[in-house]
Amino acid sequence: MSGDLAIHAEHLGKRYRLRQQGGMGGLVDGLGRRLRRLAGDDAAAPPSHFWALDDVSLDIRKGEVVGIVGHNGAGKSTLLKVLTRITNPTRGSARVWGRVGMLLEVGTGFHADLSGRENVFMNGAILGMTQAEIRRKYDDIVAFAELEDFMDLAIRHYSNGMCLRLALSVAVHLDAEVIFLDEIWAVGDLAFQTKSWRRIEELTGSDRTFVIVAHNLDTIERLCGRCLLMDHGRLTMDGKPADVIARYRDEVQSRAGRLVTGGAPSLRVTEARLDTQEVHAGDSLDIRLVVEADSAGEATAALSVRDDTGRTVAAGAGADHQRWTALAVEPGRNRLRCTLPACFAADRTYSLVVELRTVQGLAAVSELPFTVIGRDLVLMDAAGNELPVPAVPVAWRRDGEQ
Amino acid sequence: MHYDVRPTSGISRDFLNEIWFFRRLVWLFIRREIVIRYKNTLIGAAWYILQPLAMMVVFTLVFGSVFSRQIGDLPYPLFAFSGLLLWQLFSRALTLGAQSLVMFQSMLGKIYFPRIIAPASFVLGALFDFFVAALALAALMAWYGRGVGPAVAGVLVVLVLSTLCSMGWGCLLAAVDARYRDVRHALPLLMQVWMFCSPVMYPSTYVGEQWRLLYAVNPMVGLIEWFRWLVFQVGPAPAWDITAIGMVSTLLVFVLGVAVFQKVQGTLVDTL
Repeated sequence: MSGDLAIHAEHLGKRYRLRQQGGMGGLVDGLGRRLRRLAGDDAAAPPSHFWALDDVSLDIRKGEVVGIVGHNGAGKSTLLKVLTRITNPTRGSARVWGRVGMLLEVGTGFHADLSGRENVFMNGAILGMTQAEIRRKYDDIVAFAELEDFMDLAIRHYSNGMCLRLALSVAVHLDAEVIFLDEIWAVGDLAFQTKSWRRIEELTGSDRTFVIVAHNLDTIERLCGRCLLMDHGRLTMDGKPADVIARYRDEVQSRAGRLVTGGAPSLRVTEARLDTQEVHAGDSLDIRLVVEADSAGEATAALSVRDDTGRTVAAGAGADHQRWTALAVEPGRNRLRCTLPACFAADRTYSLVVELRTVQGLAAVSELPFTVIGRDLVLMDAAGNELPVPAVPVAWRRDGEQ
Repeated sequence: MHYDVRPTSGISRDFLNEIWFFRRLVWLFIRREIVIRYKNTLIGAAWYILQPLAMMVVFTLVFGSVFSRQIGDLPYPLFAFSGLLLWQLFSRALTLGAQSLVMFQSMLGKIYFPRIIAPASFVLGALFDFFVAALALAALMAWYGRGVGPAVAGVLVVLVLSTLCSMGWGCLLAAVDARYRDVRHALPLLMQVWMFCSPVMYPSTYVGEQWRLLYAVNPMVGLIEWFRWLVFQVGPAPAWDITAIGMVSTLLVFVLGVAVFQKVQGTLVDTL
């Protein structure tokens, strides 16, 4: 039965523990909780869990190019991590045939003090290339990255864009029978991204098997012959990319701006949306609301952000540090806009909860999903170690320039 | 060629095959660490010589006259430096092994390789520093007009055992540290106490007869004693009971450490 299969998975499930709030999660804390539980202390209840991957079974044949779509937190990345053995499943099993390449990140193992050349060899080896293979492809990699003159320079002297180009270039030269690809191309400049995708497209023509997670639905539709839809850790649809993507788009539409509670008679939210559903950590989210009011008056608004486990991770502080901010509304359509820095952990999905109140009480609640992509917003020293200092995004420019 | 994804992991024949399959990566990680370490320092390798050298000077000033009668005709500086040399190998290997997962954290979440490669490459990498510092020992011995006999070849066995021991402890502590961060805070203290419990600055005869066998459970007791005897050949060879206890304790810790590490390796990234 395994003859033409590349991946076979049965009832895969992955359970994660929710991090304890409060306690430090240290050794003493963990043991103490266990002891208190033995003594019948209910407050020391076990930490709660959630299933990031829930009973996923699938077969992927050799040569198939399969895309996975779904909200972040739906389990796409977890599925890739389990199939690539980065983490073990909690339940179920799977088997993968053939030489596997995984591109869950570009530039894994890159080190600022190593030269471009050394990093290519290191990164290539980490991705699973043999030394001979890297040596053979070395010139192509360098040419693809357009960095011929800089290979002996330590990459700490590279610009950010040069680094990404080199990393992507190594990645697209990876040759394997089964390739797992996570959203890694959302880096670097657009032209180079396109060039990298084109190179991947060339590879998909052969009998290589691809499993691709991408937020860019057009990419999935163009490259993949089959598409999976995931939601809350489950595989909810498996079919032609056009059909699956259509259903996913419907879901996104119905989720965005969904009215959770009915509006009070004098105020209705007719539109609530985010300019983008994907935001790089540290960038700004633009929220647009259209509120219809029967008469002029005053409303108050509040914002909060919940992560995919339902925990509130941030709340908007308006004027005077107050949660509720007063807004003047006029009869008819009111267009409102608000900006929020997305200083949240990357690679997760969140809900932005917008609440509107009038004197009569709660008027409307809108939930807007968004995903933080890119790297976590942290401060690093030159050696790439994270510093224990809260990081805020800054941009320097010459005074007088835009 | 295929691999299986399962909830549990452990030691099987597949595990050994896999290590063999990824052996090149071990070498690359070792080289990478060394290159990075030496690129960033002004005097590079000299640090691994200066450190035990400075300690040797301090020990000689403080304990030189105290222990000189108990170490035969071996000059105390040589006595101290040789002890420090092996101790430094062991403690560096153990410490780096225990911290390896944290150092490889970002890589572990993005790429698969048998997780044990992380502590293994750091533990093996520490041997490089040992050989660098061993040059200084050779120079010191030349200064004192001492040569080595054929027995010095036995040092290889000492190095293998020391490496197995630090690998065992390193794996064990790395596995615990991934779940409970306490290890990284306790480590410096542990290593300091451990050094005082090893015959680095004093000869093991200094420890009372009634404690001798318990003392030998610390594998560094037998290893440092043997190391000195193989290099200098002063006095009688270390006793067989001390040697046996040390070896059993080394092998037990190695097996236990690797087994525990393998048991949790599949989900290490989740709590790291």
